[in-house]
Amino acid sequence: MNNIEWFDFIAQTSGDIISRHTLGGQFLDLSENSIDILGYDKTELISIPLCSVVHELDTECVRNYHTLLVNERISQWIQFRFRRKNGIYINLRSLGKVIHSQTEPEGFEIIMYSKLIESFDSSPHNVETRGLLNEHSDVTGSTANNMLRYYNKHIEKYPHRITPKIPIYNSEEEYKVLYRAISHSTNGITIADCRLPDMPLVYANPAFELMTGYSLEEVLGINCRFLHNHDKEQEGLHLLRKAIQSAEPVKVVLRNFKKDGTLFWNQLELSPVFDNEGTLTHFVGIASDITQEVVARNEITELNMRLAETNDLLRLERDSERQHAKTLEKLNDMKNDFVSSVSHEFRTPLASIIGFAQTLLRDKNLPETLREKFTKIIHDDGKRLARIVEDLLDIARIESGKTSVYKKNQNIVQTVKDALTAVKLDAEKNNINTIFHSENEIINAQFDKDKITQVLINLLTNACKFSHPNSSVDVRITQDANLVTVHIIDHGIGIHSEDIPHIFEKFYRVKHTGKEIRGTGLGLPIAKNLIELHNGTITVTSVYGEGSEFAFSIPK
Amino acid sequence: MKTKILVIEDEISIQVLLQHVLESHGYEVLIANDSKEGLLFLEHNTFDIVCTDIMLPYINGLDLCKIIREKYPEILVIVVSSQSQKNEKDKVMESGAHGYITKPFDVESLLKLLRTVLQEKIQ
Repeated sequence: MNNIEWFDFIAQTSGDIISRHTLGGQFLDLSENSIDILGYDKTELISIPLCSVVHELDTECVRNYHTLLVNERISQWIQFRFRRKNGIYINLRSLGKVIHSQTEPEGFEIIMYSKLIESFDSSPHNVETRGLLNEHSDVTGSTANNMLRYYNKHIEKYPHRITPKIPIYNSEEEYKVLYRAISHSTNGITIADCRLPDMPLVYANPAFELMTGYSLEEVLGINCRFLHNHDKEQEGLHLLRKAIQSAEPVKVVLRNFKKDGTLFWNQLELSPVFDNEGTLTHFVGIASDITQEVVARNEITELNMRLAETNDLLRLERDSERQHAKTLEKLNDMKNDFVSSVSHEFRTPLASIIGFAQTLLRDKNLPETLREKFTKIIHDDGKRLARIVEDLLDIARIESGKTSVYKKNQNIVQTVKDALTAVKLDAEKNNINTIFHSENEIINAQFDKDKITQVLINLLTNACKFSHPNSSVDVRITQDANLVTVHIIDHGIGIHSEDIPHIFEKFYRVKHTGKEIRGTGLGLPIAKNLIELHNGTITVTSVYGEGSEFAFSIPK
Repeated sequence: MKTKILVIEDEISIQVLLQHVLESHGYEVLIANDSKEGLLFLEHNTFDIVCTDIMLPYINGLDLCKIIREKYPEILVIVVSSQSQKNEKDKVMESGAHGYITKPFDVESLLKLLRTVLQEKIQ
């Protein structure tokens, strides 16, 4: 069996395409299955150059392949897009070999094995560039070879992505490409030699010069610590030193200084390089000037802090508003209670006055004693109304801060005695005896005589009012270094423990009383306010059924 | 037989007024100073009408009214108010009172109210 017969046999039995070509590339013969795979009858392709049915972007590749094959006899795999008769591209993986011609004794021809591989997107508008598959490259172990492996893997993994076209054939080319990449990088790239004393820089790219303001002449041969200036205690530097000592990669952010002294934030990625024996030879540093980022980040942090502060302020304001609203609500409740109480306090004497006046007017035959009694009630309730009005005005003045206290250094003993004289007559009428006792005849204190007299009259009147008949009201004056205290003690009905906490509230009516006691409900609140205006205090102690003691203290 | 009225009122002047006005119009009047005293009188006497204030020591007039309505359903209750509470009239009516009058009141209005509630009871 000669070569032609071999070819025919294989061409008929193989599922893939076997073709013969002239050294110029024209088809001489094809396996029978070409119509199925390529869409052409073999007669249609004979005498046609292969390049004419190859995707135009792959033509150059195929030409190069052809040149290498014919001139160098290098037989290798190639991948390219073949245009079927219907215009759709298919992907072929082919291996060509130059053999002795089957028809011309001294001539050569090409035999080619082509395999249809997984289809790529065959649309002519979305074509992908294919390349030479140099699997038998002699640059074993080089980056170029690794790249090719990567390239092959990439094709398998991501058939629809644009794949890199890196046909690097030798170390020189690799060096040129990588050198160009490094020298044109916008990152500052430096290389320090670890085998030399003090790890001097042996390379710095133009971007590094641009970033730092130092020229190559200034930086090559010296350690790059000049960038830190005097700022040697940075956290980043500690990390950097540690990584250099342990020959580990590290990424740090440093405060560095340009030649002109300007601060810049340097994000440095340092990677160690080892030789085949594993000895550390170099450190490669990739520097990025992240000053703008740091400044922006700082600004953001600052803004965030301010935002947080504003939030806190707003929260405080909101809380205070809520508190304010609560206070207003409480004040409103108090106002309503006050209005209700005032209403009650006014209506009762008014009912009495109007009722008795009507009775007097209508009943002309009323006995004189009754007439007199009713007139007196009208008179008393009228006076009571007037007193309520006075007290209301008093409390309103005090609460609005309009009451002025004119304090004078004077003898409080005399003021208490005067007040006692004023209530004595009423007390005696009810058979109440008053007993006075003071540690000294003269005890001076700072007070407003009118206001303290008002308090005293109120407390003394209450004491007489609530006393059991034929009992006594004791008045005592005591003092210490800073305070003078007036005690008013009665032996009367007392105040129930439930009532004590409320006794100084406006219009509070004690719940536990067996005796009809009529006041304005404002006397004690007024007394308390007046004492507080003197920076003093007023207290009450009482045993229900036995009597009460009111005591107020004011500073001397 | 005279109509018997129990007046529960802690204000002396109002006590005197009601006693005079009601007695001079043919009613028999007993005065209680507070609600406790009022309930005590109710236990030992028979009354046709109770005339009570609202603001009273111990038990207020409204609660007192409820107690009376429950214990002595045949007694008529008239509440005399000084309008010291919100929605007071509603509260008075809820308590089951038969009549309601506010201070200061017209003597004639009070007498008319008494006649009305008594009339309603008979019918």
